Amino acid sequence: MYERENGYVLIIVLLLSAAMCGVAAIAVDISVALWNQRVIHSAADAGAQAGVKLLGTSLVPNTLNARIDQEARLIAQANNINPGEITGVQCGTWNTSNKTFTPCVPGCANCLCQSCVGNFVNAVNVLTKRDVTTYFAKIFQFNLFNLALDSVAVNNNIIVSDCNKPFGIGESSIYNNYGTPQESLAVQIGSNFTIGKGASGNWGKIDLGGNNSSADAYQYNIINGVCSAPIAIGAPESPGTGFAGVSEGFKYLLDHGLNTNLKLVLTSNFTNGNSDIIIKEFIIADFISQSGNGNGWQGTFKLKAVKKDPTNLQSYSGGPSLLVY
Amino acid sequence: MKLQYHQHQQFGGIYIEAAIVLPILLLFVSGIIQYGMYLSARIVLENASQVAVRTAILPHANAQAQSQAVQNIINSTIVPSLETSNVTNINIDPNFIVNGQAATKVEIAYNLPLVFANIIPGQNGVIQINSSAVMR
Repeated sequence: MYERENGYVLIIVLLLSAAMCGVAAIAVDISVALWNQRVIHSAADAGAQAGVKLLGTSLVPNTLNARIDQEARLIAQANNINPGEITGVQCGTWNTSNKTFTPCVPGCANCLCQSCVGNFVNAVNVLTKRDVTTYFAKIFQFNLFNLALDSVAVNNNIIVSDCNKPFGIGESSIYNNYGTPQESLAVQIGSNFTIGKGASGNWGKIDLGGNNSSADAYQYNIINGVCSAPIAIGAPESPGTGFAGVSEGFKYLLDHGLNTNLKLVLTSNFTNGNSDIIIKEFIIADFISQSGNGNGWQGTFKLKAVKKDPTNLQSYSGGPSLLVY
Repeated sequence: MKLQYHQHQQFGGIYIEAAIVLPILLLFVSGIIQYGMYLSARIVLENASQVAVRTAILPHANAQAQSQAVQNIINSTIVPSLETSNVTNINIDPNFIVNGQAATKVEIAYNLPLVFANIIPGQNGVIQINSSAVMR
């Protein structure tokens, strides 16, 4: 009877070994998966961080999306991730209240998508994936961990810009007989004035250093300013075409408390059509309110400073410095 | 008498079986434990290098301040999982080129002491773990 009990230890050990293989499968394979998850997470973080930095720069808006996409992918790849493991780079809006990311519509040409208007682009999301082959878990027919995660980087400072707004104000809105011996301010410093209204051509969208007047690009620049374009007193500039995006852009400034000390361009009077206007000087103004939209848009500003020499504006107390002229 | 003989034979068999099986089991268990510790250290160091490079790209007064900030953040990130004294090298490269432009790369080298030094392959009872991260 006892002879049949020989080998019991071996049997028990074999059974325990099988159980331990299961434990090993969990311990080792999950650890490997966690490490890989950490790697792709780091790569996604770095990529998103690099991409979102470009949102605050003066890149030409129409090339922004491509540059952000490229930058995010390159930096992510420098962090031990393969190109095929980066499944997407999205521009969009990060809502700080409910902590959600809303991507711009897929396939839009740049990071200034219409879907993001009013909730302007301030974040970049990098999506990654990695398939991790298991070692021990194969015993239980579990061959692969499909890891996928994304990382959102937010640039809360992209809106705060020291650059010029692509918004011009015709000289007659502020001056009486500008450029004559009788030149005098019709609007005193600290007073409000209203511009806009009327037919196309007599209001202030201008193309600073390129086409800044199309809807998406205009909204982006009215919020961020134009930093890279050469702007000089006496230089001719083209008025912008169309009305789209004005009210949305200024609404954003108001909604986010970014409506003070705007650096604007004072020009010769806008004329109907697309003939050039001349930059006369630079002013600083607060944006107070707006009404209407499109052809009926009207905006009220408060004049803060008027200087012919843009350099002098740099020393304006509390105001932004002038980066372009 | 016959019963006694068989009982002695069985007990002896148990010892022999245990003597054969236990070392294998111990090897298996110690391997799992050591590999788990190794992977855990890699995860911690991966995280540390990520946090370190994030710190490195922030504005600093000079290179020394940057280096000190990076070292501090690494130390605070790896404790209590790892020993700061086992960090053998921290390298900050502010001119790591990605697509023709400079980026910042932080590399960390860590000597993980082996608990089962005579079982797991390693040099002088340690395994060196290298971790790096790049940001711009």
